[in-house]
Amino acid sequence: MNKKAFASIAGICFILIMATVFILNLVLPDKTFSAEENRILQGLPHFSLSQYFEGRYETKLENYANDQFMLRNGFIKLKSSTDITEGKLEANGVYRCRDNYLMEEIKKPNSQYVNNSLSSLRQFKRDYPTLKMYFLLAPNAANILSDKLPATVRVNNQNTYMDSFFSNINDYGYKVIDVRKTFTAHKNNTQLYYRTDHHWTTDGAFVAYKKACKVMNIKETIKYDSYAVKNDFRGTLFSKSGFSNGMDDAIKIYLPRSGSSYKNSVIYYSDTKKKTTRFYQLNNLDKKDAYTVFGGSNHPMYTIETPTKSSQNLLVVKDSYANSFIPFLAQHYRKIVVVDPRYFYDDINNIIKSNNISQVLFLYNSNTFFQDDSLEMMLSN
Amino acid sequence: MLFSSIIFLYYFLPVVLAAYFIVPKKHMKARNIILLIASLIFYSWGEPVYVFLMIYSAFFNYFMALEIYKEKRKGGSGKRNMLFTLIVNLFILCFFKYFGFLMDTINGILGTNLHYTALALPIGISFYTFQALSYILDVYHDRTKPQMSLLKFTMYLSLFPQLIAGPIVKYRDVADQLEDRTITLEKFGDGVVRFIFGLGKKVLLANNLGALHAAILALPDSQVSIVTYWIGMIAYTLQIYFDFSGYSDMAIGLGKMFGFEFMENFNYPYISKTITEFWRRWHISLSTWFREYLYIPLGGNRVTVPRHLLNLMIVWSLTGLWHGASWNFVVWGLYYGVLLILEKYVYGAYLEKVPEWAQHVYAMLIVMIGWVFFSSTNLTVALHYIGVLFGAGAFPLANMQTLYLLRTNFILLALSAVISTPEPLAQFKLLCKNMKIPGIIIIFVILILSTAYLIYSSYNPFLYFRF
Amino acid sequence: MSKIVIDHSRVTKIVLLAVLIIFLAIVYTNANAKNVSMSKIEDQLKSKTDITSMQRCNNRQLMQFMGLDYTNYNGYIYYKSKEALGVDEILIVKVKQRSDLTSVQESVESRIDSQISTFESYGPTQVSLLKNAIVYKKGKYLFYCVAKNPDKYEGVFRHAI
Repeated sequence: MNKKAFASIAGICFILIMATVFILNLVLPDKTFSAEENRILQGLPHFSLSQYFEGRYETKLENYANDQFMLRNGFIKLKSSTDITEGKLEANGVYRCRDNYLMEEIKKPNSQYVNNSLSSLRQFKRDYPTLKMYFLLAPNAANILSDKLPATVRVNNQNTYMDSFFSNINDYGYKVIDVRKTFTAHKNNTQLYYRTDHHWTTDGAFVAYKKACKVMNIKETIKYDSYAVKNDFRGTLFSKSGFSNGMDDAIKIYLPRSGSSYKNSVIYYSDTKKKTTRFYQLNNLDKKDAYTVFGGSNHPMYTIETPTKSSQNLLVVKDSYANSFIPFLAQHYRKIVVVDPRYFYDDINNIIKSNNISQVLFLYNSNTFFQDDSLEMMLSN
Repeated sequence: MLFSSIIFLYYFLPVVLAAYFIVPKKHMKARNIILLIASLIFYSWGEPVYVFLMIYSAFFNYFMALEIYKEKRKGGSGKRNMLFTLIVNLFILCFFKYFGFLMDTINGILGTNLHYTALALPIGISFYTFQALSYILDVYHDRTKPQMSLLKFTMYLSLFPQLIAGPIVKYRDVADQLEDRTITLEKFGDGVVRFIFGLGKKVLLANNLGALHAAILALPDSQVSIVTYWIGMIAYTLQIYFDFSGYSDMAIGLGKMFGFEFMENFNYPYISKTITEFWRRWHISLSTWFREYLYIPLGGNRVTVPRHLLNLMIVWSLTGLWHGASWNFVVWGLYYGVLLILEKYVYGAYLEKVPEWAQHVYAMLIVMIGWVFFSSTNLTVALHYIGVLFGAGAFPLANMQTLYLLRTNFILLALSAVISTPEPLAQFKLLCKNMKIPGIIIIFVILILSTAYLIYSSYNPFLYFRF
Repeated sequence: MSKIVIDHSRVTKIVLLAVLIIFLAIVYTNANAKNVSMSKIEDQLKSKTDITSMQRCNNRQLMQFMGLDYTNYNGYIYYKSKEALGVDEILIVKVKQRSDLTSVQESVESRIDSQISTFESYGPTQVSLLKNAIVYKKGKYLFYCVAKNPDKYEGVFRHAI
């Protein structure tokens, strides 16, 4: 008797739940963009018989059903929490570490890409023997802060990859900017990396800058003060893994101390044709991707002109680690041309000629660089 | 379409259930039409071109069964028609499933390099072909009357609860249910509970165990250890059980929701004490199919001992081959054939005298090693893996990776091991007898968590722009 | 009476068998394509068409215009018109697995769509050429062509595989 009642109740609950979810899914409006995932969500696909026969319509409709499910973000959080309760330490390549840190795994380099990059770098230096060329390859958090990784986690040894790379380009004539020792020295008194994002903090960028100055023969002339402009930043690692791990990040910007001989720069983005004198776009702090406060994201090329005494023109070839670093360089070069090989399809040789480039700086973080194939494509064109 | 997907659970299923139950009970024909249309849509969703092949198979077998029946009614044997039907059905199956295997074997033996194109395997072809064969053979042997209605027969063959992953439903087991089936709220609720348990097994347990197994297989040699490979083997053992039995549970549960009673396909196979017992508990619908339609016609065990051994080897190598078109499946099948022979003729009697826990260890070891053959891409890979398990290759007993895997998967493994026994379900039934609310909550927590995991699989952070 | 019935069922059986064989033959030939190297296909195109009047494109341009990463595929041939406002292009991609064809096709279709929106307001000839683009898949190859006579190139390609 009781068993019958239980089954009947289960049946009724099921009908109610399915009906409610079905109706809500139909009635609630579709979302177009997921801030957490930084991607466009699938909209209702058009039906076409040929697409149905190829199976493409089915895939799109299934993606639509998944992307537009009611309370989607809530369900994703539920899954992450369940995983954590179960003992999981990693999701999508991101580890939950000690001291409230999230850190990305160290991926093994893609040897084909790295070899291609090396040969194109070698050729590039040969093409421009008179230009001074520097390479700052930054280590990642899981390398420098490896003591914070959870007890049983071992990551690949990034240092061997970096050592091998540095020795190669050193032979080609590049001056290596290796910040590992200075980072290790500073790691206990400075937060070098974000807890929830894969970038270095502005403090970390500044430590790297000081080391770069030594290698590039730059005299630091400006004193800066740092200001926290956002205190609840949750970055890429949070988005990628779904783990919040207990502590948000602060984003800092560095402003020159009053009284220093700081010259304002003019920054020009050629793709949007926008000009500005501000390095920091404070409006972007409210966006989901608050790291864009540092500007310079997703532009193929932009230029910075500063009325300094220097007559040097610098070309920076970079990934997003450079965004918080470049403002410090502006005071030492009359002109800086910043190029991102992932979006830049013009001829780099023209850029060098027409801007009278005298020095070149490559700035990448290891994890990204060792999986990158766009640098080789740009240099060997 | 998969049962374990958002589009099935929350779009397809509610619509089909609603359409089905809106039609009043007395219009069974209309309800059957709805089920048929739903099943064709369900199948064509995953196979937009090969749905026509399945429809063809339905029509062909329907027509030929009537031919055989007519011929027998006139006094003929129907044998030629039956053989013709068998050959065409098997030809279709072999054309898609075994053509590549055949060509590779020929190339290997003759040293040639004949070029061929391997076609994609239409989903469920092994299942519906075997269902069709059971129908034809039963009609030929007068074990069932042929189905007069093309509609009902096609519905039987394409019925979406069991089309893609079984259980293999013999026509004669459901013939009456095609005509008439009663559905009560209680039966519907039973189906719901069964379905949700199956969903949880698949999404919460099997998928995660599979991720663990895949991660272990992907480890480079420098990180492999003996214990790690044991964990991998245990993970796969549990994964395949929950995957397959979970899907069968969902099939049986869905069937119940529409008024069908299908036979059980799994009966806690991992509590077996012998291999003979194991095969009475694992994939029951397949082993009974082979028993009835191949083993017994070959003579079964009512023959001389050498012939009996031959029968067993034939049946088991084909059982292996049914699972996949590759030599490691054949080896897997023969592996069990040999063990069953040994249990029957060599040490079966001694085995019964051994303490139960030892029998259990024996059975589980055999089964787990069998899964290594089953899951490896080829024999060399399988043998290498098994070698590592028993110390070959000088791998360490355990390392940091082992600890990491244990730490992050202990709850999953422990939970899975417990749920593979009958205890938890028995306790659940006891709980529901006394108090209904906790039981309901458990069921719907499983549903909600499964939904969360399914949605998460579409979570795809695209961070390219910022790198 | 019974003679007619027997003939009727014989005929049905023959028809059924024929339908099956035809279906399987169609499915097989559609899936089948000879495993020809890209350079061979390119040679055929060079000798039998005027493809050399177009610009041969490299990895970078494949990424820039079609959004495809050359390392994901088993070779490609990509030619583009040399004129600034020309929309002629030919792309042949050989994928590693047949399931990759879907994403290549989607990239090609986005390319066509974005070209159409670029030329919509001032290039009616270009738009009509784009709308008549050929996108054709066989075996592990995808063929895409925008040209005044795309069939010419398609014919050479089909012949080559």
